[in-house]
Amino acid sequence: MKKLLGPIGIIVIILVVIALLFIPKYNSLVTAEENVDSKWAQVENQLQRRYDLIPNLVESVKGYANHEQEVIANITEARAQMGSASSPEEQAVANDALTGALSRLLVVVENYPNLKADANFRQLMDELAGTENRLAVAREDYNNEVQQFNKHVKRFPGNLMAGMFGFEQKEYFKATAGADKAPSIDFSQSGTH
Amino acid sequence: MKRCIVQIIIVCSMLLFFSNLAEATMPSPMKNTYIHDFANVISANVKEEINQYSEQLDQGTGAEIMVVTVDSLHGQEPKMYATKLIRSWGIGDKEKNNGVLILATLGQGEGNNDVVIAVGQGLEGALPDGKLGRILDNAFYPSASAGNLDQAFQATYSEVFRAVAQEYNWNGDLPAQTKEEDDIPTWLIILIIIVVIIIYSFFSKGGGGPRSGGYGGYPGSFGGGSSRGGFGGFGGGSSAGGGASRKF
Repeated sequence: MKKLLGPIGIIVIILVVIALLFIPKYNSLVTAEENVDSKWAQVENQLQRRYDLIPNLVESVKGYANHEQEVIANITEARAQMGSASSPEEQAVANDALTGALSRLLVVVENYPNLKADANFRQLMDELAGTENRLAVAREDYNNEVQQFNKHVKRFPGNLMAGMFGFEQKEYFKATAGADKAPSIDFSQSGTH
Repeated sequence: MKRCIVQIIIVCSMLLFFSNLAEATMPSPMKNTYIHDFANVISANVKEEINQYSEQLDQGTGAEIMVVTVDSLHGQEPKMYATKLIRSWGIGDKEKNNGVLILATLGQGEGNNDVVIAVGQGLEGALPDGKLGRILDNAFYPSASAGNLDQAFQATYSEVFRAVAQEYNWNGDLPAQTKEEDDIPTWLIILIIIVVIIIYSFFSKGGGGPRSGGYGGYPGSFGGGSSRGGFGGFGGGSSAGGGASRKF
């Protein structure tokens, strides 16, 4: 009796220890993944909002600066590119392209005081700039969560769990250098209208 | 070996020094005030007025409007800086995220100074970006560009205040004070604590003193009464990055 209980008892104890070690790890992996997903939803919200604001902006620019076809075409193209992107990395690239196109628009706008003073245009630019900032915040939050999650996945015993249950490292929403600054709008000259 | 240790200490202290410098770009909040005029540009009576309004609004609705002036943002993007300030100070209620921050720089030279109004998610409906931009254009810019900063802050503040009060249908009434807690005299509270401690140490065997864990509940149970007494801290609010900014 004693001989039989010995090995079985040891096996049971080992199993219990493994379970105690792994169950919380599994749960924290699930939680971390949930966090990443919820932050990603925030990023997508802001990308969508930005996407939706562009047509209105293009319309109001056309009203004053219709012959700036190249800038307008660039923005429309970048927006289309953004619409077809799917993975975080693709979306980050498309988002940067749009940021570049918008900053070229801001340069052009300087030559159209009437456009700059237009209430509708100013409001759109405020909404857009606010969205840029929200996007920057959401991106930072998302990347922080991804970092947390990836740490869980890489470290022991998380890496064993991750392999077993199919958790994969998440992609960062990465911006190229220099494109991570939201374009700032200087309305100071027209503020006295 | 000794030299090695000295070198390590020097390197460590330098690292500490520089990390402190990096931290120093974001000011720390003071207690009991809704206005942090680090750039020293707002007159005392305007400060007092803003403070009073904010305190009443906070007590009435839980929303916090904070005014901050600094010399410079050290090259950081204004809206991002303001968002981070709301988050790190915790302006607004933790659940409602209803903080507003009016932030201006004064030391970056004329035309290069930034003014931002940043809001928590809870007030994005009452103060959307487009409206904030209009407030800055109509209330802040004209006075600020003419050099009248008191007027600029006052006008901007009152626009923001009105929008927040409207959002909560708040007409200036303060909630009825809960009197019971105030009626317990301090000496009685102290007496009760002393009696409890004595009883505790009496029953804990071996005379080793009470376990510290046993007292965990006490500070909290009195906290409820004291939080009404003015602005003692920050609600823990956050922001998703809403807001508008201008140069002036």
